[in-house]
Amino acid sequence: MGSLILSQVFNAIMLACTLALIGIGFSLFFGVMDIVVFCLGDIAIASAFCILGITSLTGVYAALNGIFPMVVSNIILVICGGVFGAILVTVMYHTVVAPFEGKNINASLLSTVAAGYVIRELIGIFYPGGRDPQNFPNLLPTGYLFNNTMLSWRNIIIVGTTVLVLMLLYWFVNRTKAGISIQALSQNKEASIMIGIDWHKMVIVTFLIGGFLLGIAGFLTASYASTLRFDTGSMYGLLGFSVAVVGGLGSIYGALAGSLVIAFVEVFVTGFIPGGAAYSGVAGFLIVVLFIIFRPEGIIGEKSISKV
Amino acid sequence: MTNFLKKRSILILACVVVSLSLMSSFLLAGCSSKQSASAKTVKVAFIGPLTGPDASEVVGPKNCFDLAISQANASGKLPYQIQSVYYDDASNAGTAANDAQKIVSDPDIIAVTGFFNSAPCAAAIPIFKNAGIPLVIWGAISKDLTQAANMPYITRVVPTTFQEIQPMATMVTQTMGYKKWAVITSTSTYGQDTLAGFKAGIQGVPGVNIVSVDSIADGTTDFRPVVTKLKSEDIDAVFFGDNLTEAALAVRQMQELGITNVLLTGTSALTDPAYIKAAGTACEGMIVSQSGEDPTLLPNGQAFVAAYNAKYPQGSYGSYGEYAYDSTNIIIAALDGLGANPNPKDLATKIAAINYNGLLGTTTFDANGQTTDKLTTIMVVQDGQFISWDNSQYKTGVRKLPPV
Repeated sequence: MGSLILSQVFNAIMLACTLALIGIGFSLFFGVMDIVVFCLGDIAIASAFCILGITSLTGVYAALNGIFPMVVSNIILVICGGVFGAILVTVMYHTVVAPFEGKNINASLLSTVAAGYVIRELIGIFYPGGRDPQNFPNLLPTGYLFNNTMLSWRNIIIVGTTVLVLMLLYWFVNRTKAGISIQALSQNKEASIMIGIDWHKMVIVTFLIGGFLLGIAGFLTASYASTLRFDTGSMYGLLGFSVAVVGGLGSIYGALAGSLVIAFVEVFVTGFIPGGAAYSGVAGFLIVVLFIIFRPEGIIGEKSISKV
Repeated sequence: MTNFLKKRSILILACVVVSLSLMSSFLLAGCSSKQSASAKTVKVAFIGPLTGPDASEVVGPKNCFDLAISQANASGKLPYQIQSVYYDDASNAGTAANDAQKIVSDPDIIAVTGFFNSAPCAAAIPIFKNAGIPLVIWGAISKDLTQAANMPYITRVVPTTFQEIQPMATMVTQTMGYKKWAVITSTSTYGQDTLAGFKAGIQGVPGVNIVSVDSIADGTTDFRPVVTKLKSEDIDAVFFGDNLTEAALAVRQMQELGITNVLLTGTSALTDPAYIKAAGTACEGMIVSQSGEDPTLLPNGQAFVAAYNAKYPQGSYGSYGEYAYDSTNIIIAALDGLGANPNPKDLATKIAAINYNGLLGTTTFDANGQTTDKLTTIMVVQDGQFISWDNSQYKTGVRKLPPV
């Protein structure tokens, strides 16, 4: 029983890692733009498809592997996925978010839902065999540490990458001018613009960084599942949104806490309640509802009192 | 405060959007169908998920529908040319109900063949029944879709999940002796139906019991919590009742976590090359049962395969193509003899009473509208391909299945 609990704790931590980055994506955009961009899951999955597409172009992948050692070429691939995510998010910003700026906020919300549908169906239609499940290439090393199936190198790298990205993000948000500007915008947009922060520029920076994060999130989740399908993005996005709400929309550390809460609830309901698998999603989303009712600012959300 | 309230209201709005997108079932007010005075046009509708997650499965059936219609039009045996019309249900019950309303309000549509998924089919059946439009189901296999109350309008050429799973369940439990089972299935109508079919299939076999049942929502990608739990239970075999992507993910994650010595079984949803591609080596030796038979082994099959390949050199007819072909031909055969101005009601009565000798053998419908042709084949994955159990090296003992 002890080892079973330990294994499920590992499962939950892994699931949390695949959810944390997309949750942060939701928080970043909400913090700066005050809107929930609903197609983030689809953008993450589209980025994973971009990586998959590059590896399936045999010539390109072989050439990459010829020039660089395996590890470096794989890192380049992941960066390609991140850049693709950043480009996609920026294009999406200009097409479905920017036209509604300063107008009805519902319009941009709905247009991002629609954009998610468009991205999903475009993958299904234009990627070769796009509606079939795709094998995601094993870019992370195989094999196990201490011969333990839980401690595969892949899992360790997924956790490591998540922690690394979080640390880089922490540094960016707290130590760079752009990061502090984004924080300021998130806390008080009008005052920030008055003291000379270029709102439009900061929005673009946020979208680029957020898009890059989503690309990495897509890569991690696809590597963890090892199979990718064009429509996984909608559920992934919904979970990412839940994570952000539970942690506190707008808070980066909240997203991390939220991902742990959601992941532990889902895994433990599945693992320890007989027949609980059917209710893991229910339990996860119930937590979200409870948070919205009783603590809408989330676990580490900004304090509402300071705004009164 | 206002800022906070604004954020909160956006949040609530966002949640409304999420819940709306989750429960998408908008039924339009019913429209009555009316008969046109002079029927110059006769349309037969095809409905299925032309977009969405199951779209790849419906390419073959749609092609087979087109093939049957074009063959009938070329033969000139009907006094008019049949027009094909297509409706996309996107695997969604609400969309299917909308489509059904559109179909019954088009007076030219005389019959419908359709449905890959059971839930959209169930949503559309009452609309067709009330309007008196015959529906011949080629793909949705939930047991309850065909009922005496729906006769003569709703008939089905494909065996139900119960009819399909039965022979496989008997073989692996009674003949081979696998006793302790785990079931991984989906929370969908389909998943619950396959679960019930499997339970019915093993009922009464002494010593066989189901240790755990895990129903998992479609779209889940992480099965490790369930697999980790199975690892702690001493099981002989697993039955997968879910769709191919989920089953592929689950068997891969079982292999990854080191559960390799149990028998894997599944439903006809897995008999698609895409499944083997996604599951990789993890599905070697997996046993599934499928309704129907390889068309090339059927008496009328060679002509069908030749005609199909001539018209669609690119694609395969898929798991349900032969059923779509036969269901369309049943509609055409029933139209024969109804004159230049056929009436949907007469057509439905004629379909329900048909004795049709087609691709899959002789089809007649029982009192519920269910086909009496229960042709099923047991298949096994050998070297990354589904082959008939009877021709496999697993049957002859050259290759070994996991021990009981």
